[in-house]
Amino acid sequence: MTRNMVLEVAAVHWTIEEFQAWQAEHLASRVDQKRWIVAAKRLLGSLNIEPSDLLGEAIFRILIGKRQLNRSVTIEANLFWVMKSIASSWHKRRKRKPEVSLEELLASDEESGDALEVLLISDDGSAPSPEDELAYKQELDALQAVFTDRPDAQMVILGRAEGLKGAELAAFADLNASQLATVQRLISRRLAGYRRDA
Amino acid sequence: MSKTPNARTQLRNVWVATVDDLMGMTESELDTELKEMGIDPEVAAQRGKAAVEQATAKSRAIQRERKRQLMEAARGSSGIARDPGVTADVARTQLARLIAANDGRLTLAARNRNPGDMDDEEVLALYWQIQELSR
Repeated sequence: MTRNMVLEVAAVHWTIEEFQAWQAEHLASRVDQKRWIVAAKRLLGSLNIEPSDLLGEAIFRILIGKRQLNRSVTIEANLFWVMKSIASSWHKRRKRKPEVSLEELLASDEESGDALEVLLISDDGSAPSPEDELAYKQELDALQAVFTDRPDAQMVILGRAEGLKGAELAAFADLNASQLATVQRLISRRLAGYRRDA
Repeated sequence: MSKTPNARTQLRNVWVATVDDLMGMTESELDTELKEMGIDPEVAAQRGKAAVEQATAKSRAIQRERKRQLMEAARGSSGIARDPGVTADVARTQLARLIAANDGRLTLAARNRNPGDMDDEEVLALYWQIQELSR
């Protein structure tokens, strides 16, 4: 009976210990701390909350096991999505009750856990239901609609959806490398601010 | 181009690429964006560091309290005869199976743990607590 066997059985989610190991390596440098503050600020948008509060809340919820991390994507992707989910719940709450205090907002604890949280939900290999597949399709259309003023960005998103990267993606979107980098920056910023309920 | 992936995979691909973009940003790009956001890059680094440290300290306090409650509950439960053949490794394997099966007797926090990383005392306390719940 070995601990390796135990690890094999429990391999659907990243464990808290694995997150802690990742954290020690990838959240310790100044540049990474800046990176996650940029991400938090993008997600918070106009919400008057310190980006560090969002980062801290996401890490806290993961460390106490309140949020499960999907092993089929990177820990970075999971952390980003946990932050996105929390920020989204804060935006919703503020929209519903504009007078809500900052303390109350930060302490609020609504998590949608819906099928569209595609990065946080473990992929068990089974095909999505027709209803879920339709919802995913509608969500993809909504993401494209964020870029109605930028057909080049829509092409890049289309290519990314197909799994294209680098030169292949540039060729697909008919862009050179420098244009692709510019469009990718735009996509990254706008999508962080995208909210279904906005 | 190969077969088009289903919409779930397409959506996941788009978001993974967005995170990849974030992870690929250089320090100079990060500094530029922080300044555009009205945030001093040095202050951002300090606040990011403090946020990580505070979240870690707060979670450790909660983990300690949970562990204390678990041990207390295990000490207090006397209704079940404890088979001495259940070693910590046996308990670990059983717990891993329950976690893999998403067993309803486990709390969400317990489901996020890897029994391989728990110490012997903790893993046995959790194992016997679940046995109590199964009675």
